[in-house]
Amino acid sequence: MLSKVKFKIADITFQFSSSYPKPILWIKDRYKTYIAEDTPDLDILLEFKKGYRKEGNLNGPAEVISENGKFFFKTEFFNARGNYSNGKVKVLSRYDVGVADLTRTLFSIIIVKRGGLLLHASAIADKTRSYVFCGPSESGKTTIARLLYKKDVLTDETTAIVNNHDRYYAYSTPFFGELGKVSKNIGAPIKAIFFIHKAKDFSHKRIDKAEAARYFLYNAILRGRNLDLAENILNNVAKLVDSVDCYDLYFKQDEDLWRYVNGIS
Amino acid sequence: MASLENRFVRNSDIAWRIIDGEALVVSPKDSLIYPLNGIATRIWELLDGKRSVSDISSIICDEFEGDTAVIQKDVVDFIQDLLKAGLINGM
Repeated sequence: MLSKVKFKIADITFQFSSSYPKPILWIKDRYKTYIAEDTPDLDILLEFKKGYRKEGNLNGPAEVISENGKFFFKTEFFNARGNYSNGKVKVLSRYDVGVADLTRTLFSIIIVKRGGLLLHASAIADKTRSYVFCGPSESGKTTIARLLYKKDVLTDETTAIVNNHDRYYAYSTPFFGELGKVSKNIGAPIKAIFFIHKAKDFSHKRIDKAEAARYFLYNAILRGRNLDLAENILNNVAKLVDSVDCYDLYFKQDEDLWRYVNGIS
Repeated sequence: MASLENRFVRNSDIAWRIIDGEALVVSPKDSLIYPLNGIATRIWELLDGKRSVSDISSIICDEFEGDTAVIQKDVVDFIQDLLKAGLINGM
């Protein structure tokens, strides 16, 4: 008897099925905001096999192969094989943990194949627009999300950038940071993307496409890159910098942040 | 070792794209990103396995203002760096 659950992140619907109910129950609890009933884009059969557990190095490099319409990846926890066209994915897990890691890895591959990116970025939505704040650890993503708490915070850590008919949208994801889970699963067209830097005062500068592309590459999340996915990322980044205004944003920890950001774009 | 008569070609396992006149070169196997400036991008484009280092150096001298000896040395050094990074192969 298979337990099943469906959830949707940034317009991509996942269905997990497993004869072992624990990961399904975990998803139902942790991804509550993302539970959906849509037709799945990815139909993931999760099987478990007990194995020897080597301690340490749990986030070691993933081996990823993506070619000829199929993908394969192997981490400390999982072996996964998938087909891009029919969305069927078979996963063999050695351990009773790591569904979040599996979902994030799968999502990071699929979003790139669909013209988007998974970025180290916080994001907020204001009415019909979204603003993305991109940067590595300690750059202030969660700080910005906290300062902009009066807006809809999409995420404080990991933003999904989606290309929908050449218009770019930022979406919330369940891959959150210190701030914890967000209460809404929403996305909105991107008004501007900011590469963030902590500073003593507010300032900004518009950056050129080449510089923005570099920032995106440094902040894109994709474990175990391979040639096919790297080429896809480069293409996606090239289109993104053509379409969206990008800025360096130097910010101080002050509630005037929104007024400043709104004034820029 | 890169010398003027050698020919080199971009490694086919490397992803790259020119954005706004500057190449972004990605080595997927080690997840390294190499941003190239305008002149480096032009040299990268010319590394097609058909032109020698000397040919490439001459093209750069024609296209950019500068001292020929300096440009030639810089081209050789840059190609040597690319070789060391595994981004190009000798023919």
